[in-house]
Amino acid sequence: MQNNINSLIINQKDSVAVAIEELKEGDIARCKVNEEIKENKIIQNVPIYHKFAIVNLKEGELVYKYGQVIGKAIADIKVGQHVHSHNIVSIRESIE
Amino acid sequence: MNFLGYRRPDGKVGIRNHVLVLATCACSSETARVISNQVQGSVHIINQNGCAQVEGDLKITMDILSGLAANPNVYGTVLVGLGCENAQPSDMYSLIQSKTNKPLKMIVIQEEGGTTSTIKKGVEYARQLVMEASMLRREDFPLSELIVATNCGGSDPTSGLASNPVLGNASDRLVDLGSTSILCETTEFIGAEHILAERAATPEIKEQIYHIIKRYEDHLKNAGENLRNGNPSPGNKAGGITTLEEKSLGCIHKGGHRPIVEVTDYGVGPSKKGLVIMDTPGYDIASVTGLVAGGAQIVVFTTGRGTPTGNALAPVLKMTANKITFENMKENMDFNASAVIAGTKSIEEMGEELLKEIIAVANGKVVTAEAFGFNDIAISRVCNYV
Repeated sequence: MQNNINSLIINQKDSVAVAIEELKEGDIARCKVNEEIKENKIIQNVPIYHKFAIVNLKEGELVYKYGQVIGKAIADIKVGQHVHSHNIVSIRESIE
Repeated sequence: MNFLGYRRPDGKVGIRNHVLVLATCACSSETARVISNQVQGSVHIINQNGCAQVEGDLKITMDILSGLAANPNVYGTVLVGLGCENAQPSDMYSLIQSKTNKPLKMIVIQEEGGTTSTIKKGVEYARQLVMEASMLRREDFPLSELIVATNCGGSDPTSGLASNPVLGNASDRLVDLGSTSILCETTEFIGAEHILAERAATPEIKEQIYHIIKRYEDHLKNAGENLRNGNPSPGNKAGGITTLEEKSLGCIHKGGHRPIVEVTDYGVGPSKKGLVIMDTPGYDIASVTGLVAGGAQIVVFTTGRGTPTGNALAPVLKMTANKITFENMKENMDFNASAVIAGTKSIEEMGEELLKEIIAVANGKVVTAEAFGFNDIAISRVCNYV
């Protein structure tokens, strides 16, 4: 891994980054944003290729990846927490 | 940039030279299989349909079957019917002839008088066609003669991060070189449709993009079902994809950035060059079947979790950006895009490499699914049998 990068942010607007290695609680996540290395403290285990929060989110807030809405938070989420089915849901799937 | 292909009498260019033993219905499917197994160089498909179907389903089945026979990778077809089926052998024969003037033979079990007589005649026809086909030589053709279809299956977050963007880059290059690229899997546009709609070449195409999605959702709703249960799949979720819109946003990357110049129905081929959308299920096998029936000579298939899938008529070139999957299922993979995630190669660099690989496969390089002889088929349906 170049420069010890272990996570990727796709778009500046994103609420989450993607782990490209398995990340354990206590690890420092490093990702590249415009040639700068951004660091975040991981506070929950994040399996490889899963998402973790890079901003704090309140319950009900929209969650962004790819610069687009991928769902909304169903609980408060802190930076460094694992983001998946337990704390976010689809908006589009529930449209009648 | 050119490729080497087989010129067909109908003007199209194939990158393989198969003889197809084609059952009109489920009752003749086994007979067709046995015939094909006797003749090296012929292929068959398993047919579950062709009879006891509502009008809408019968039409889809007949359109797909005739489309397979018309695919440019097919030299000629031996049509095998039972005799009493809804997809009448003579109707199927005429339908195929309306699409292509390639060699076409027909045998009907009830006319031949049972299994062994039918097999005997079918094997003789298939043998003749295979030997004729072997006389053809590949010639030089421009990339504009290629229809490259894209597909994704067993997706995980690496699909959206890397393999789909790399495929999208290759798709852009192909379109810029005059080829046609088909994006499909309508259920996996949901949540990302606004992005595709913005790239529609005309307002009418924009409407068509929204329409095929709404039509699909309404169709399932009218049957008292919804698509949430299937999508994202357990494997998608275990891999890290949480919601359908997250999956779709990753999926549409494989269509690249060029304008969308046409929207076609399931199994219907493009009438224009450039980037085209075909309405298909997200179900990999049904979408690949539709793409090949629509005339795609090659399918480039991204996967995160790994899949062995292959098609009898067209090479399904499998690529992944998941380094674990590439190692774990190496014998089912053709292209490794994980360097993009590792940061050692750019999307553009890998897109160029992928284009070279696509052309190599077009020229005859065998993909893993072809080496294994995998022959997946599924035809989309309106509803239950009758």
